[in-house]
Amino acid sequence: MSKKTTALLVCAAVTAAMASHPALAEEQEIRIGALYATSGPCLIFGESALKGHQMLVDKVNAEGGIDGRKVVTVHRDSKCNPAEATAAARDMIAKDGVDFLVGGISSSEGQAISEVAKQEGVIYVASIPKTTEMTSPEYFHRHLFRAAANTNTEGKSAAIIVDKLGWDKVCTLLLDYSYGYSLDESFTAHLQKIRPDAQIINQEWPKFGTTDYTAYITKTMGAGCDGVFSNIWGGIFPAFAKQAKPFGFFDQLEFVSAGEVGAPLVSENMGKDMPAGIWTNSYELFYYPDTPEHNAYVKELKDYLGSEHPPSWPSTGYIAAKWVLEGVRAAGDVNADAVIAALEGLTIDTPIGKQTMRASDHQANRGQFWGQMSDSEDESYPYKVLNPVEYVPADDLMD
Amino acid sequence: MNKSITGTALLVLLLALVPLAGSRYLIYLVTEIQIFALFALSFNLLLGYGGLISFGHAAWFSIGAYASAILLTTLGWPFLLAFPAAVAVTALAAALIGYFCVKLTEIYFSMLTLAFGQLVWAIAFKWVSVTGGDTGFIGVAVPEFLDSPVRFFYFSLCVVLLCATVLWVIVRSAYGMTLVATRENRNRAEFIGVNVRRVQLVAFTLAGTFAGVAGALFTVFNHSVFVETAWWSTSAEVMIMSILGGVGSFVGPVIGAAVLIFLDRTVTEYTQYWPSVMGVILLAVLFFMPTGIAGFLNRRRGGTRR
Repeated sequence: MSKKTTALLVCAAVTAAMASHPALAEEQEIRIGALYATSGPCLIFGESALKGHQMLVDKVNAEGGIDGRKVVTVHRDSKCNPAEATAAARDMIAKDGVDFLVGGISSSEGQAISEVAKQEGVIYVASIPKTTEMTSPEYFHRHLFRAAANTNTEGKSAAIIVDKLGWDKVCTLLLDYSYGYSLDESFTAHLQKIRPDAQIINQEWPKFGTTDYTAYITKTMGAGCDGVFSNIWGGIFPAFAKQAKPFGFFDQLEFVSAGEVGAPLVSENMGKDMPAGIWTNSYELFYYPDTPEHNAYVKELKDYLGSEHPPSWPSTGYIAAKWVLEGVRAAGDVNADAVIAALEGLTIDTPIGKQTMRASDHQANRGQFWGQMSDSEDESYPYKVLNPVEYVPADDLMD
Repeated sequence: MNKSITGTALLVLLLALVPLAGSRYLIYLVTEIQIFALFALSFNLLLGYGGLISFGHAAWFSIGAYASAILLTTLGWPFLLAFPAAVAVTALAAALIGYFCVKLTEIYFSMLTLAFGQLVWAIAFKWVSVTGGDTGFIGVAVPEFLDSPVRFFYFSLCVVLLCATVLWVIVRSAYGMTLVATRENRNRAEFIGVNVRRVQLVAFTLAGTFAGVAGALFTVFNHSVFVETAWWSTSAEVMIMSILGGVGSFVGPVIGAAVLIFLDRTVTEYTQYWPSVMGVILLAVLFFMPTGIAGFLNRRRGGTRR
């Protein structure tokens, strides 16, 4: 009997403890819920993005906050899984009282968090998810903002590079899932528009998660194209490049790759295996552009991470957090409606230059850094870098 | 017997009082536990009572989830029609695939369930126009009367209790005893005239159907379905819940679901290294309580019930 009573008492105590709101948002705080995967396949990206977020928040707090409001970050591991992201986003809103959500890595995570944001009426700034679906009329809602470049920008900027390289016969080597389909759509449409004579003569669709690209490599090489457009992204590119190299793939064909293969971390991991001469993109590059704002950011990041050549992923978390904080600063309030109104059409300074949040679909005009893989001239950094490199602005490419 | 009825009544009362505590977090947490408790209960009909190890139970959960999403949103059916229809679709699919699976036994049965489970995932992944593929199916047209966390809490509580009662009646029935007999000794059951395959097919279909109910509830709860739910790791998760709670007892899987979800959510909150913490906890539980939490509690109480 006594055991039963104890059990009941414990139950009641737990219920009561969880029911009381330990974290009712204080008026003076800006509470941000950060959903970055710090386990599972997205670990390497999530951890980096979270560091960028935290660096900005720490700096802002050290300077006294936004108009005296302290910034508090609550982080939950979204585990690279949309169902977990849904539960974590809800927990942070219901239990930790966050006013804003940032984060998400995969498109499905982005969609999941966006759905929670819609139901709960909390602002969500998507820092990494790219799918155009999120901001399409069918799914767009006013609480959703995107700091990341979408797949239209990425595919269309790739088409611009292909046009510059003067390809007429184009092969594609895109991964067989939504990211690949979206890029195919935007790339093809834009290429037709700016280079009507170009033709897509062969398309291969490697399965996402495959470890054997041989068949796709040989078929692409036999198709007789001038160059290949691919989205075998940074994390899986090393395996692909290793298999393609013995065929002389990168010697015979020009290669334009979306998916942030140009990120410094990928170059460092691959070392000599990174093929020279390919064209690819990155979110940010510690060695470009040489502007005071960017140099200041890189220096800060170097100190924060204790790394002489900081990775590009922290910029995603940094810029997303910056949108939230600048939105609050402009609104002078953490109220969602006020911040939404302030963010629409707002232009802010970011490490990669000025960014504007389009009012119509809450898509930031985030462009892409594109360049050609070449040996580094900096002796302290013996890895390949993008050179020449340029920023392809997104203003005309987002739709 | 009398004691367990009192216990159940107390638990139900306690559950019904949860929303009054006024914490949305608690409502969300308990709703999720209810749904996964039903999922684990359905799985245990196979594992605990039928001795059938299925590695593809996520298939039924996700078919129920996708069917309700598609019927509600794409086809725009009213909820009271769409929900039962989604369950019916799952039942049909489970009966069809179960027909092939129960032709095999032991490890071959398990492998076939895994194969069919992954097939369901592949279809959901590739059929982008219908399921949304890997970006997921979001914006499910949830009816207004379920659009608040509290109302949905009571709805899912009723559905889960109803299903749990039906499952309880099933395992206590002559059929339930026969199913246990096929688990204990397949040959002997056959000799006394039991059509083992048919008994197993019925169990498979029933388990699939109740998993479908859980899946449909999960869709309405989240307003979304993602292809990850069909991946084999979801099947593994429900297996862990059942084993953790104890497959030898009816309520074991419910306890397992509650403990696993509660741990998952709280541990994740405090450390990035939650996989290691969870691993150690699970190891300890399984090592010190080989019959699961329910079995452990039963023994502590000096109970002799299996």
